[in-house]
Amino acid sequence: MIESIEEVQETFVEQHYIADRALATTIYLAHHLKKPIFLEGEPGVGKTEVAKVLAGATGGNLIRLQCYEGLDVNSALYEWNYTKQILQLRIDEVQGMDKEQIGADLFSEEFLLKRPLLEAIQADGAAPPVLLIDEVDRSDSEFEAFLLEILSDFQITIPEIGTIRAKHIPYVVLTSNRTREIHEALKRRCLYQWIDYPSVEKEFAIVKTKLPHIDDMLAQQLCNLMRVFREGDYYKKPGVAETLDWGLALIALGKDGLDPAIVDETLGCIFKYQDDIQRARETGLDKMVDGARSDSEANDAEKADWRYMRG
Amino acid sequence: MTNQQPLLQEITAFCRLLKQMGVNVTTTNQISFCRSVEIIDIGEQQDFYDTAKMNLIANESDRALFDTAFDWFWRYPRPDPQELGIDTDEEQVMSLENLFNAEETVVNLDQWTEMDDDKEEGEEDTIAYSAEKVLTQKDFGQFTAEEMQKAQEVIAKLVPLLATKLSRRKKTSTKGKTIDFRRSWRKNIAYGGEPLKLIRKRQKVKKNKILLLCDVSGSMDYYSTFLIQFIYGMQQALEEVEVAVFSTELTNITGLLRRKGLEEGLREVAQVVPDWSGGTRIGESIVAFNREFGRSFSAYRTVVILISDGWDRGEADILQKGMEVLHRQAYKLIWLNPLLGSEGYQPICRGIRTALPHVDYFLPAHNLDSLIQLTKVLTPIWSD
Repeated sequence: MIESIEEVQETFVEQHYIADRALATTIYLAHHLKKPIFLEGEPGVGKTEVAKVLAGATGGNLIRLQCYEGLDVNSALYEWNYTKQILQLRIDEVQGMDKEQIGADLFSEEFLLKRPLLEAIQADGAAPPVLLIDEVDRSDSEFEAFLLEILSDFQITIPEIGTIRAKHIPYVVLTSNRTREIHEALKRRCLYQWIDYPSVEKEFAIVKTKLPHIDDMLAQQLCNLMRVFREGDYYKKPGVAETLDWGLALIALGKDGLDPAIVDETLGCIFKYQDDIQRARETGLDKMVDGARSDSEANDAEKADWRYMRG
Repeated sequence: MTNQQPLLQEITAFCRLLKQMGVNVTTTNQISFCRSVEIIDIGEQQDFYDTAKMNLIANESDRALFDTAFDWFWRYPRPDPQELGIDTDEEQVMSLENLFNAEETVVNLDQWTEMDDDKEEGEEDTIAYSAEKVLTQKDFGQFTAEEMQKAQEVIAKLVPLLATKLSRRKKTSTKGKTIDFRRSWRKNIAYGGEPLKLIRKRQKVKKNKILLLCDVSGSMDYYSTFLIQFIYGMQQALEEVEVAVFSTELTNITGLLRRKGLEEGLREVAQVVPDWSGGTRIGESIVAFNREFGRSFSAYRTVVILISDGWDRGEADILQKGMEVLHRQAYKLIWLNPLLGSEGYQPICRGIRTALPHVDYFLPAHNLDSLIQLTKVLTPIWSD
């Protein structure tokens, strides 16, 4: 599926993901150069989704490592199954095993608990797995340093067992919401891609792909209004995830067009902070909704585009 | 790409150009770019651009720089292609810099240390008597070039002392509740695998983070540089430090400082920050600060240190609103004000009056003594 940039784009559309050419190029190159991808951008622009779709498209397993404050090697890489080891010792003892034999194979793979990174390296399916290291910015810098080591040679040394090398170099996708700056050394190992909020046309295509039953007019108005909201000065701007949530809510309410009253009632789908909801109301929903509605008539011509993008 | 130079050399020259502009392109990036170019169709301009970008930059903030360089290097007929050959010389570097910083004033440490040279001639003798003692109480604003250097030495000595004090206090915190199986098991092998002694893991406390928000407007740049140096220097104890500077606009300089190191970083800050030494809009800057850093507040126990003299040209209610949000989100909000050191100073200017109700600590920051005082405030915050 990754023989050309166009092919990547088409396969992604089959998986209901609209990838622009820059992102498709990144994936194409990541495949051929065996390099990790580093995706950065605001929350809700579909960074994590890229890994899921990539796994779906290549047929590889998706292995996910969610980062958090204090994530350590034991929960990211491997840990010994201590309870099982103790039980094994007891069994050996009860069975009256030779003194030398007792505990001889306690540190073998049988007693190893595999965590995501080891799992990704040991995977031996037909297709290489997709390793998603999500929200790297939440981990601490010690863990970043450790990742750097793993991502440069894809091998892990477990003192009791030896060195394990990856059978397939996995696809690696790292994501960051930029709650803090990630060290450049790590980013420079990867193909860096900034994911922005989609353009109105792209978002329309996304909405139509994800919610095929939505009315064209409604979808267009939705995307227009989203752009207006994103241009405003809000604490947390709505992402694509919010657009889809909102679309779903409007479908459930049986709407085929926007009006100020319905937007007001469903503002909770778009903004997650009371201050933002307040601000949206103060800015004047009537005017914004009117704008979105008149824009959608003007944009009718562009609708042909998304059909093309869907292939 | 109409000239006869092989592509590889062009790429090398382009990477050099980026490096000269301050983008930290590594050799690995360059090699990776070359390999990428082999497998894409370089006739597709967009693909070529995307490929170059994803390989050579690692920060969205470098993109503007990259775009300028890219447009200049690849798209237009360059004035003289020979000029950007492998051996770029000083002259081109200069002309390139002019290209990108034409209107910006370059203020660097060396320059402003010399500003006060003519003043304070009588001071020289006292300094010789007990330089450090006098220095700790003298206002930064009145330092001569020589004293400035001395003060920096004092800071360099002071910082590790204060830093270890902070980290030592932290170690005496409460015992953990969860069992560390790995270490317990190892330990108990000595007792035949019988779990006699359990080793406990100390619950990791929520990590501390310092966000420095520095006013570098005309009235403040002198002090701010000092304070950035001081607090940034304490990083080993403070774990995570991010620095943003503002006068009319907010600029995050954490990445720059990390990439270039403190000294060179600070020297370059003046070029990167669009309005170094301009006027002040504290309110707007705080709102921008909340927007950019707000998301990171929840993941850390965040101490925000605001360094400003409170002279504000912006709207008072924006400041009011911004401070309110900031105070709510931050674990502690400290305002360092150099003017607080001058005798008879009353916080009456509008900016400060609006902001004061939302501040946890309002401290002076005009001399080394006050910096020591700041550590005293920080220590208990750190150890609970």
